[in-house]
Amino acid sequence: MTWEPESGDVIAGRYKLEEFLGKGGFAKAFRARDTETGEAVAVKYPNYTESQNDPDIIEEYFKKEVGSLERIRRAGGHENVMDYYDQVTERDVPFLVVQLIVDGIELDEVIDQHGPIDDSEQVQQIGIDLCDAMGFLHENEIVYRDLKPENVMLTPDITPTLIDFNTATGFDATEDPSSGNTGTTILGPFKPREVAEASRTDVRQGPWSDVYSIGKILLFLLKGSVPKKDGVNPQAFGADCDDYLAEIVERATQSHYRDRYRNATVLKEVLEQRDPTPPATASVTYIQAERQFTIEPGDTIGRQGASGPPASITIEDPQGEYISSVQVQFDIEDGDWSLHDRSLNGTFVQKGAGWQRVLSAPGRDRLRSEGEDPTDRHGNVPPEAVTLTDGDLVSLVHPTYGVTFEFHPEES
Amino acid sequence: MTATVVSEVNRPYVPTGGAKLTAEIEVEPGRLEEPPTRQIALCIDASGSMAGDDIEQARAGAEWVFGLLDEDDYISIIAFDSEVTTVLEPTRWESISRETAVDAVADISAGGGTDMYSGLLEAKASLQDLPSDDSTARRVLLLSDGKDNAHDPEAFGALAREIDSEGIRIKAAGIGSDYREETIRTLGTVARGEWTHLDAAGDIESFFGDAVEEAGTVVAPDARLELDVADGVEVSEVYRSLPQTQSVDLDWEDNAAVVPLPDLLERETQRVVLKIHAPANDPQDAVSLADVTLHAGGETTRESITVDYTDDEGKLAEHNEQVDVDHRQTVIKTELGKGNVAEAQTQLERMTRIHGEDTEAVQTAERETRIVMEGGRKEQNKATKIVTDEGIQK
Repeated sequence: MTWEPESGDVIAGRYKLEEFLGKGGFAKAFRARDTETGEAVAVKYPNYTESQNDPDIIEEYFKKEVGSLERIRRAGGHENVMDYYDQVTERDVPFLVVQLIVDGIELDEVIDQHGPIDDSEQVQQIGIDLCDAMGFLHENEIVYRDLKPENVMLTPDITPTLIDFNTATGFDATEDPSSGNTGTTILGPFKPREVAEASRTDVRQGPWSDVYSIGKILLFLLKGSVPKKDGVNPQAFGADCDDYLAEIVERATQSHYRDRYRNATVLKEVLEQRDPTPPATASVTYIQAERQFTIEPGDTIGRQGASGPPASITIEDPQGEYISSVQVQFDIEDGDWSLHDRSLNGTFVQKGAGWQRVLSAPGRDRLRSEGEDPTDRHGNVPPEAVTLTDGDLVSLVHPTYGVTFEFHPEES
Repeated sequence: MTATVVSEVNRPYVPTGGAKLTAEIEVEPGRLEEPPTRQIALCIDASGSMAGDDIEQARAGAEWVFGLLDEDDYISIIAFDSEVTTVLEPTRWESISRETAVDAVADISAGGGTDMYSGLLEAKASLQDLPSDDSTARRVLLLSDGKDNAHDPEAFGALAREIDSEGIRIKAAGIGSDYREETIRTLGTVARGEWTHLDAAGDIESFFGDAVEEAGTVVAPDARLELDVADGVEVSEVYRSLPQTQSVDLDWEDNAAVVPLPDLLERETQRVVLKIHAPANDPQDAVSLADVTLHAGGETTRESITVDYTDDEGKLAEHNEQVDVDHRQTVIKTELGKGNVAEAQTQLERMTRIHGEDTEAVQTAERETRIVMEGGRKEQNKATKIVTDEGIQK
């Protein structure tokens, strides 16, 4: 483990190391040239030598990063998330080959070098992009856990890119989803109470937890510092920004998650509209349990106690584990509500006449891989999403499964 | 709240002839039920040497604090050079606009000498008559880069005691390399706050901000340990170990002594270490050497430092080494904080002899001693923080 890569070394006969980019608690990085394609890439490897952390922990985090990056690649990647190309080994040291964020600077350094950002529009756009990235990760069952300025690179055209996935994880069954964390809780101003105090609170982590972190990052961009305090209005700290933006940040960073925007989709929407008022809501009534929930665009329904990114609404699975951790997601497009299936077993929607199956692409793939035919009796492939109108019924897994919701949009 | 107190000794079995033991007392604060009301006085050095970045950042730091205050909190701002200026009278945050407060701060300018003593007196006066109860967190946040040549550290010690007796804790920060360290250290230690070194103007905002946010996590503002010792028992070498290593002077009254504690903060463990001399006694179990009572937030919690007296060689060999390590580490760190490298080295040699050079704590102490020897005030200040399993607290 004593070998230390240097500029000029060629890794796995392909990646020629150029300039040393930097080091963190878990990894070091070089800029490198892919000699097969001629492209510039970044190469990361475990920081065994200059970290305070135990080598086993470094290795574990390095593996987590590989796992998350592979999952992201399978999902097709995202403009605001670092791309992953390759994993190779050289002299027993594992290397990750990832996208080089050309001329990218980490957000904390951007502010360090240039001071706070006065232009509300730039801050707004960064916020929208971060919401996009977070929404994408959640859809792919990745929870980022540790969104803070150091983990976001900004390119000269003001596009943020999420880097460092060593604290992000796809969930597996061995982890306790309620704590959302396997290690020590580290307090920080970018974490909401329910994450920082996960072991001592009953408040569930959910999409609203990322909303808080994004809100704090926006304050950081506007002011250059962030307090631990909740419900922060940038103007109260002397930031000179548009009123709508100040109000959005204040609302996104509330202590109680019910007072925040529900999820990154809603936060993105209010940022785009420059209007802090949350968009339209709807209600769904869980018929068998006689419970009613209010939903906003981006909200999800999933199985309670599942290992996976927590859904906005979680319900007990009456028959075990057929309901996915995130089963369905609601959205609004051009004023119309829609339902997107995110599950492996599918969802049925009744719109007056018969039931329509809705099934995610991974769900269809799964059926095919098990030798089953996802098409219905008319030979139609079930869509991934359908529009919802007043009174529609939504049945998770199957109409006879015992979990049916009645949908009602609310007057805005 | 419901704080808990736990004590431990390094040797649970004592020979009948008596022995000198090491003990430690840990206080867990319990939960914060209602955030306290904060009463904050910013006491800012505006002498000539603060001109430029320092005073500018002090003003920015004050403005940052405005963002952190809640409606019920009080704030006052005192600036001192050769004269003392009340920049902002003690004001309840809901009864002033941010603009008015910012305007007041804009008037602070640097020039003249360093009458820190009068500045602190004024800061004390600004807080002492405000309405307070069990959930009031009072703080003077002192920022200075210079020396008050008219008053020595002893005079500041006496002033800090007066300030402390008004329920006010001092967070004392020296900035740069010309302030008198002993004064800053004395103020923070005696008034049960902390002392801090700031390297540069850029650190001022977070010094003010962190102190104000921390005040918002006070679970019990006036905490103390009462030690009621048995006849013939002697207590010495008492130190606060967590949150910051500081030596403690005990006030004795008959067989009882009081160890004043910093305000109990949510999630922050406090630890006091001491030497305790157990006198000769007959073989018997569970002999109390000292009754320990925690007074905090109107509650009392009791614990007792007990040992068994025995002649059994096997039992006598039982040694809880960690308690002794904690005490020695605290002494070394306290000396390093004062910049007494030679004394720290003497203590380190003793620690090495007893616990062996392979002990992790010995190696850490060696490394820190070297860092302070080669470093400056920042390293001294850093040495007073103990890294626990949970990482550096706060």
